[in-house]
Amino acid sequence: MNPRQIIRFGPDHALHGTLHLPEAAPTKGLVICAPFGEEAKCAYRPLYEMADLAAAKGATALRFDYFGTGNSKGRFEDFAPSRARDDIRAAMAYARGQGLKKVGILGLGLGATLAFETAAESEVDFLVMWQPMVSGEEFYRLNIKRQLLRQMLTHGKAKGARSQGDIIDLDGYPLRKQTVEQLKALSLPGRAQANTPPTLIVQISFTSNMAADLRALADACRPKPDTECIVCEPFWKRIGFVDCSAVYDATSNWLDRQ
Amino acid sequence: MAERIEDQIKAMIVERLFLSISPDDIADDDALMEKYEIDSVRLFEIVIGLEEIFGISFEDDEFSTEAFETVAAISDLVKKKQE
Repeated sequence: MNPRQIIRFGPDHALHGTLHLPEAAPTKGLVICAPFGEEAKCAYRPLYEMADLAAAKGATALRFDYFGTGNSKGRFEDFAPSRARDDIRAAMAYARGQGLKKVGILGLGLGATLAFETAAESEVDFLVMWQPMVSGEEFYRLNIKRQLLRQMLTHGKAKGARSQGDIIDLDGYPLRKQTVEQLKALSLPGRAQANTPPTLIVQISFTSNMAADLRALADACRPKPDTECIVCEPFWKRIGFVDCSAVYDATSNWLDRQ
Repeated sequence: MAERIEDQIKAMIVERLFLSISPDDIADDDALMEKYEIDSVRLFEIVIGLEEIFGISFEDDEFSTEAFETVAAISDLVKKKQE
């Protein structure tokens, strides 16, 4: 196991992060962007293991909590995509401040989407997207559906989505209406640009055939990203253990070439 | 001959839930939640699979435990949505 260090960074040191450090001088940096809500909880261990693997291969990896989540300051309803992109930029700045020449991002789900958007606006040397959330509208629809199914199993029948004043309950997580509108407006192919950094898109699902939305995203990027379709349980949606070694290996091999 | 809806549902369940069984091992009237330990997360995968395969979309008031209790019940729901 590589050494780790807890850090506070960003404006007012509001953000909490964990550095996974290599034994020797680091060759590059990797900022890791978690998904949202329940998915972040389920993905905690795999993202930790990926960070440790990156450090074992010579990179400094930084896992962090978005403002309003985890051990970072703020209330959950302060979470917003625009703010989260600022947090990613702060994490990138912290990593670059460590003297790392190349710093990239690895994101999962909404984290991958935010990483992609950040890369469109800021200097990012490489990008790994694990099962990016391509359509915010669809993301919202599916979260509501998951909430209804949970209600159904608890009460026998779905009770419907809840909102109170400015706050919408999204599968147990309070979000401001403005934040929900920001989420719904996210659309990755529309954000694709001609200056995408070297990118790896990893589909993690039950099939080795790439989904149409991810293919469209890959086709919209220039230069064209590398893609991997890995048959693996969607670990960010599972409570129990999932063997993610195929995902780690594919990612690690690609990172070695950056 | 067209594949039965029930068989399509069973194949989808086995594939998406990474079950180590054959779709034929699932009986039409098996209690899915109990026999295959289907929680809300797994049920979510089934609903997404149904929407994708059959091109349907479920309304909020269609989510009841009876509707998803067995493959036969799910099949009835799908057929009703396709009418």
